[in-house]
Amino acid sequence: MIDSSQGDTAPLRASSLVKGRFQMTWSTVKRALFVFAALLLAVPAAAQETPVKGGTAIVILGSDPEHLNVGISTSYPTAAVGANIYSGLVRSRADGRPEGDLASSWTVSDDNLTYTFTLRQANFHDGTPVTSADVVYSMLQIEAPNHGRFKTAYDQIASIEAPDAQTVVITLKAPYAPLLSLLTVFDAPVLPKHVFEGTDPLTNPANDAPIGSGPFKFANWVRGERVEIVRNDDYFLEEALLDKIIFRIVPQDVARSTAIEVGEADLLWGFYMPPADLPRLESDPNVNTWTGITIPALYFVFINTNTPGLDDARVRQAIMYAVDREQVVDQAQGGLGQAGSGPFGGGFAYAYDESTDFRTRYPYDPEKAKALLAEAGVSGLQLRFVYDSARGAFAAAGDIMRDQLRQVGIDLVLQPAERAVMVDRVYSGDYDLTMQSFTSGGDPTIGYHRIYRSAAPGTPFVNATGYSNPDIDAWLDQAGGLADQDARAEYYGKINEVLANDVPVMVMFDELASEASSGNLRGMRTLLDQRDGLEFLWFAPR
Amino acid sequence: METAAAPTVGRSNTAAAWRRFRRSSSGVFGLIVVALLLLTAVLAPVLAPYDPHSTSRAAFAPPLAPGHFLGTDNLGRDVLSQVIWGSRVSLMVGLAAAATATLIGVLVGALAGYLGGWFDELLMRITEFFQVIPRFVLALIVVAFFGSGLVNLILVIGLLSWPQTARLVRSQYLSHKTLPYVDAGRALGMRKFRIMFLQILPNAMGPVLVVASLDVAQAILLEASLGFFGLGDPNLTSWGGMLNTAQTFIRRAWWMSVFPGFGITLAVLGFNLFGDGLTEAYDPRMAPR
Repeated sequence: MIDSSQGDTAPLRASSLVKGRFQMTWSTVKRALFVFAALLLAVPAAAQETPVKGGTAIVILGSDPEHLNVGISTSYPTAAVGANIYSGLVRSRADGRPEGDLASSWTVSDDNLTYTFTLRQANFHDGTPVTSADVVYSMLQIEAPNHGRFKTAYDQIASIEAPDAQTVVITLKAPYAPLLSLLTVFDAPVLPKHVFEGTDPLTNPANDAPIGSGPFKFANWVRGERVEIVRNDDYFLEEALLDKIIFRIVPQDVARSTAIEVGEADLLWGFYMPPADLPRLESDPNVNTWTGITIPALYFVFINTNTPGLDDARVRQAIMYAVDREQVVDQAQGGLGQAGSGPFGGGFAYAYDESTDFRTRYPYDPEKAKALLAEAGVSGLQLRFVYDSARGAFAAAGDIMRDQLRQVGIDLVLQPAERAVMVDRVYSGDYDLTMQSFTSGGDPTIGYHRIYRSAAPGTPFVNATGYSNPDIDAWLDQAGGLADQDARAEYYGKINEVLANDVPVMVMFDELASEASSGNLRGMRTLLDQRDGLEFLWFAPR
Repeated sequence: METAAAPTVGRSNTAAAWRRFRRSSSGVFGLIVVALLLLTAVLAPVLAPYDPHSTSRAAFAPPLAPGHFLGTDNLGRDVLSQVIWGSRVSLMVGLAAAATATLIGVLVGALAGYLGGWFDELLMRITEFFQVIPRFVLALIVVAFFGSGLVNLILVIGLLSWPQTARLVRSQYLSHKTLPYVDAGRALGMRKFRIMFLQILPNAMGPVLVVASLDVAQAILLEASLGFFGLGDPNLTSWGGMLNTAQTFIRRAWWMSVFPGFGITLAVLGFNLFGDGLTEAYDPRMAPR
């Protein structure tokens, strides 16, 4: 069929963990054993349970969404609420397999250039039917200009057309493997054309009171406190089991885990989980916890190659040797991660190379770092480490890096900044080292290519290191256009080789996702993204 | 009423104040605490067994663990060394901010009180403006915008803490400027500023010192609060910053919060008691007989 490349990625990811290709830390192993044991215990019980309807679940968000329009933003809380109000053409099951969402089926031409989608009979929450015109309008007028990730996909698209009310045809410029994973509600939600037409999508009032076609309808939003969504009784797929979901905004780390413990909330995602609290939640009999890989997220340290001193690859290599990334994982990330293995992480088998694995290539070796610095003739280097002040793990990583870089004679000055200020500084090049986290959906093309491809400074969330290599650019383009994974692996192999030597980016760790939920909540993670598919949630009777 | 001879500041007066101070046991206790803290801060590099930034694999070691008297934190840093180094930031911010506040307060208060008239009105409205600003909230905003370097912290706290001193100094000047010794000075042809700062100021300093010592305590508390909210300078070890890290681990590692918390309590208590002693020393009506 059409989507072998898509379906493959997730199983490969999962098996890569089991085969021990990662050097697991003991805490990771313990956690894995715990999860395994929990599974053994939980499966027979779960098998006897039949989903029941009704009830209200409280889901924790760490910050108030800016608005609820997933079509113009990749913001985490916006998508958490919006993904359950809107629908995409396709959705990804937990194993990464795409299936129809608004599209009942699709076909792909033999040359892999033309995708034809057939839509289901569906209605928006205001009763208007969803047609192909809505799909085309959303993608062309709203998402292509405004959505960070869809923009990337749109560069590969030649045309999006609606030959009739139930059909959408997307034609590519060249074969592009990750297309389907970019047509989910997170990247290309279908918005109502009749609400947005003739308005500025960035300021449309519907962004704060969205009208979608998803399993839940928007009900109420008390700014800074909670967002409420209720079941859509006119949904075209499995009707939601819960009557209502309340997203409670809890900005304090400690208050979030406590809310789960005392039963004030039902679901806490890893994105908002204080890693330090996970062991405590794991030992709480009234709380269910889970750790594993969903959407691979990578934590990077960008090295500004325009900073005098850091323009020398030997100095960047010295930084790689000087930082004990295992310690950062264990202490700053509470063990919820695996020390970085390569430019694209360990999540995509075809983009990973054992021969250039950062962990074997750059073990913790301060002496080697000193030697490289001496060889480069660099001494007394003082570097600014810029990071988002709201991310505790970044601050802790900074504390560790400051100590370890000092051992080799580099003075690191921590400069936390409010997120908007941080983004502005980093992506205009006003930093020396910075820590950032990126996700890449179901394909490295989506999130990680932009980090390494040459780019002019000034655009947020693309190459901020000033590193520019025409070979890398060409190979990235070739690797991104191919559907065949063996062929892609060849290009990624070349890229890994060069980047492992040039190291414009220190890959700190692959994040392990986690989750905590109240003991009787069921149906989590039916779909790939934890935030998606809340219609499958239900409460087991106590 | 005010026919008494001009109070003069001389050895006998200071000596009398010291005698009264010594009689206040809480004041003496405060002085000892303050002195010990100052000593700790000055000798931090000698006293601390480790560099406070030095991390290790031995995280969460409890107090009395070998080599770590007060245990280690989440990154394996020695808590005792951090508490010792933390006293530096607290005292430096406390003292410098209180000095800034006192300087501004004395200047504004003296000008307003002595010159009077519309100038007094204007300065007092400004003072009231600063007095009604919620200090902590404004400090949060300023630090969030301009960064949290040590100098920034000192300036923010200092610039927000002077109104009380200003009002006090103004009232002192209002009563002193009608006293005979001031008239005498004026009759001798002294310039305004000489009278203000060389004649009246020394006589008005007693209560100002009391307020200043309380300002130090307030400033230490404010600095710790900013640090607790994650707005301290991450490049300096401070008690507030330690508490900020510790809150995540409060159930797992109580020692991470208890010891810096103890440091803050001790410093604030010390300066408050010291201030009490000063009150008794400079205001004989309150002194125990």
